[in-house]
Amino acid sequence: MKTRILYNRIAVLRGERNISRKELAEKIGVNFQTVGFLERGEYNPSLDLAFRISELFELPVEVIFSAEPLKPLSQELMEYKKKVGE
Amino acid sequence: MDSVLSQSSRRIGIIINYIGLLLLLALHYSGKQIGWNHMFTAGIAVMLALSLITFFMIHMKTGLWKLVHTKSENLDERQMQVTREALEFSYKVLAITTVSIIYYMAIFSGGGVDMVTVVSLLYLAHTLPSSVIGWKQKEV
Repeated sequence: MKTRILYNRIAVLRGERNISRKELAEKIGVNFQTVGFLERGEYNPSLDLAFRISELFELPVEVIFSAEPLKPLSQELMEYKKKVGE
Repeated sequence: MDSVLSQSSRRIGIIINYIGLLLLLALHYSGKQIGWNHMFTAGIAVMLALSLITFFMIHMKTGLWKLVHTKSENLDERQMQVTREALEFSYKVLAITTVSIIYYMAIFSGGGVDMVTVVSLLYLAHTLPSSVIGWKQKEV
């Protein structure tokens, strides 16, 4: 079975929190190169690793990972505000 | 610190490494059949040196050797997946190569397996998984 690409916000979240790839790798228990592969969408994490990442960023898994290309968080927030406002 | 080689450099190194090994074997068997002379000896020495240099550059300095020869508990899930895929592919190639050589030797050489062939197969068994990773992965 061919695996599909999973999109993620790891690079954005890591940048926001000012964490280096090496620091993130140490916190989630992987090699620092694996963080690069994850950020570029070249490797799909296991469920366990996805949960470790979501726990670290204190965000739900579906906010970080998606099967659809991800919009910028600010755009999603605006759309959510509009939806709630309606 | 492991050295970083680009994928294309790794691929070139892998090709040179195995061509060196094949030429070394060709020279060895040609020397055995035709008769040894300085040309064959010099050629074997050059091919051996070429194979050794590329072996150290591709397998040792990049950390590929360590990656495929370490315990799985020291690897993360991506490294385990990459290593497992490389070992799976290498097993197929090695099985076909070994069986072909054994059958060839049994039919055409009276069953005797040359020591150089044994050492070459051992080398192939140990280097093929890391060569597969070096060939396929953008980053190692």
